[in-house]
Amino acid sequence: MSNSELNWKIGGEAGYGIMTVGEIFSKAFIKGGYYVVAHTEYPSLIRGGHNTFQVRIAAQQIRAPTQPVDVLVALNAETITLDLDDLVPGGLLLYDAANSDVAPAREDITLCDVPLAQLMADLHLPKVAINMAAMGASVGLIGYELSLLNAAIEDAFGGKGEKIVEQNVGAAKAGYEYVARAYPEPYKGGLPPVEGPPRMTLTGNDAICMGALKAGMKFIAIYPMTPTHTIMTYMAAHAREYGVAMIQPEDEIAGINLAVGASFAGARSMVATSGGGFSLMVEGLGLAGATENPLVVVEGQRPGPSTGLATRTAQGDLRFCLHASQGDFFRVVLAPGDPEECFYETFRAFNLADALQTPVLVLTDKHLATSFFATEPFNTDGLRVDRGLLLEEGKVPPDFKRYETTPTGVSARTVPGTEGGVFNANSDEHDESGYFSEDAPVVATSVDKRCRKYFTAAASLDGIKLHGNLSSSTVLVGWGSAKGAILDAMDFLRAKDGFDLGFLQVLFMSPFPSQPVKERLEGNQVILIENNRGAQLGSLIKEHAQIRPNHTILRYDGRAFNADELYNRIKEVL
Amino acid sequence: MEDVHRYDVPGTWPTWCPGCGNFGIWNAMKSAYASIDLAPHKTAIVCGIGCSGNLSYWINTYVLHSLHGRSVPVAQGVKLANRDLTVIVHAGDGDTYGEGLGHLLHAARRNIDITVFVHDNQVYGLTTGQPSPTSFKGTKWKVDPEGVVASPVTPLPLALLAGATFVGRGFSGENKHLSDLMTKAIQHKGFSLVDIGQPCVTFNHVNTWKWWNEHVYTLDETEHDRSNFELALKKAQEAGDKLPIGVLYEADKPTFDEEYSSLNAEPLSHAPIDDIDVDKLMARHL
Repeated sequence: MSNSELNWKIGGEAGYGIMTVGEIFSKAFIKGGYYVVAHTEYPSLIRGGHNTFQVRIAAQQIRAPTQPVDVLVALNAETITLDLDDLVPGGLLLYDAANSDVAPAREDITLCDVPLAQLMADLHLPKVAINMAAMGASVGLIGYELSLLNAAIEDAFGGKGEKIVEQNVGAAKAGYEYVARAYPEPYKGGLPPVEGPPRMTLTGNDAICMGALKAGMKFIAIYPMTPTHTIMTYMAAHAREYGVAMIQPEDEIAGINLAVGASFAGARSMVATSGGGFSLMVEGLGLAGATENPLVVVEGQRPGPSTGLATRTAQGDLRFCLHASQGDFFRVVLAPGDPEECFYETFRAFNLADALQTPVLVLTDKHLATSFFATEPFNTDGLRVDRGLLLEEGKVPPDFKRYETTPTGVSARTVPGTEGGVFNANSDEHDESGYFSEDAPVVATSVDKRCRKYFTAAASLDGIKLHGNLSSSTVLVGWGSAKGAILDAMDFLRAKDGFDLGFLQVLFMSPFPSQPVKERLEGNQVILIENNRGAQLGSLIKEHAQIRPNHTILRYDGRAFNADELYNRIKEVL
Repeated sequence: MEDVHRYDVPGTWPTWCPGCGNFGIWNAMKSAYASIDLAPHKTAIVCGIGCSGNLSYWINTYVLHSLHGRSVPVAQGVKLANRDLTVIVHAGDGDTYGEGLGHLLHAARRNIDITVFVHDNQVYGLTTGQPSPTSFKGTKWKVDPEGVVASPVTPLPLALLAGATFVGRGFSGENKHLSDLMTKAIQHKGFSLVDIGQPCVTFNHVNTWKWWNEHVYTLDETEHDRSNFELALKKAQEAGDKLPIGVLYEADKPTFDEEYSSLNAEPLSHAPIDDIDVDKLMARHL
């Protein structure tokens, strides 16, 4: 009999390639038909900090991490000290006893001593290669296919040449073969590959990049900041291939203003940052709002205030994103919950920015931005680029007024270079032509124009997704990356306890889907789930739908919800 | 004949104080445009906030009247998105040398082909007369009754050291000279900074028309070797009694868009985006 689910965790010192290992190990299992959710926890240090990568593997669909782990790989003694409690009774500890001064103090687990360092020394490989040997040994212990690990290693190192691939594959093989001799019985009968469609090993940031490139984004300014820095890595690798200019500005203030300029000139433009960088961007956001320039802003949240926890996760910037900038103008704020939504919603964000001529914020967080999820390839057939009311050369009417009052709040736009379309994109309050005005009726008309876009957007957007039992009188409510843990907790509740609950996912925070939210929640038991202290979505629901949640489940310690933890917390209030 | 009036905004007239140095800059700007016969729709002016930025209302080109201190980043974005445009910044000394000084230096080192005209009146006018980053040390103001303690920012040497490939100084009172200087700055390929002395007749009682007229002298362009960086740096540091006006430095170096391959093709603003293939990206994750 074989297993269908396994939780694997590796820990080691920063600098030992834990991040690379996480991606390779995830991909090895995704190639074998499994669903995978893999997340990393690490402190904000380059070297010497304790890094972990946890990979949850299952034949059935999974979307969030769980505890405990079945196999713990300790590349250093600190992992034994810090993570041993994560092991399930009966679980395996893979470690190198000769290089560990900490004795594993548990008797209910199986110790798998593998001389990783000695194996690498025998092969004349650098010590850092123990991470590959540990993956090979893990595959052996778990009872999986070494060839699939090799394929993932080749994908990762192929660009660095055959020799590097050979060395890493050789290191993995050494670990695998040692275990085949010393611990031949696979954990719980083995975990052989299963049938499944091809899936991508993808982070939220990867998906955002693909969505942006598909949407024709041509300009991105990005100042490095965790957790959106990997957007920079991705774009750097593909910018030239896609004819994109990626600028690393001197600061986020310059970044957003560069992007506003590029958008004004006609290029689809984006910035990506986290809360601290977004704080610096706020005035530029208002500039885009006042001048009605399309712009996409990706805000990958991490815990604040201030520097907070640079490498951890949170959903604490929702209110900030909704209200950033002085004065009244409409912006779209949307919050994808998984890589698939990251892709499609980022694509849509560019169309919305053009259609509404205003900033669109895509709100993610470290957990979604940097964790790996098994994701089926996106269907791009139905995706159409729509630039909205952008006047082409020769189509500019003789009485063109850039900021003409319209029922939708959106007016036709030209870009520099277009004959007859000259106008002033004015951050000062202005009349229909863009000329500054302090005339009271003109001011009120202009403010109304920009705010009217809220209703234009609301009319065309659904803003929610309903999951699970649509007629359940108990409804879970959440947003963003908490989606995964909520859906997995619902699976547990269904399988273990027979509870078949509903889940209302709020996708658009602005315009807020007041009516659909009200319709689903009114008269029902509402359980609000958020990764912040202030229950920020809860406050929006009170404001827009006049509904108070019956129960509130919050987590704000810098970590994402585990599905099993959430299952227990929901059960407590049911 | 050069038609400067094609750059006027019909039915408007500037609201600057009578005698303001901005009028001279405004006229020189239009003359410079006319001298190179630039169609109004082929240029974009990015303005900051202040009396200088208000120039945007009285000139008939594409304009982005941006934020205080941020016009230089905005202008770089415009140029990077469409390298066929002539992109010009009009901003003040508070704008460019206060809030935006960092942006100025980074724009210079990128050598992005934009032209920055700084209306340097050494005072904050719209907020009724506070000292600016270029106000002289020791000058007294109502918010600085003991006199400015800090030394003034020296924009021209800073820009030179940062990598600007065209650096000059003009004076609002030498209109023909200023217009010629602006024309050269616009025609220069690469990042250009022109600091323009501009008397504020209402709030700056130190650097008056009289003061400027007594302190500026015109660089003899046959004498001054504008390709000599060391010499330019020396000239740029002349302060106090005599201030040179003219082109201090000009160098022919590759611009940002020439060196950045994604910008070598058609402008980003006009690249077709209807059917972009991401299948090959997806394949790499399988």
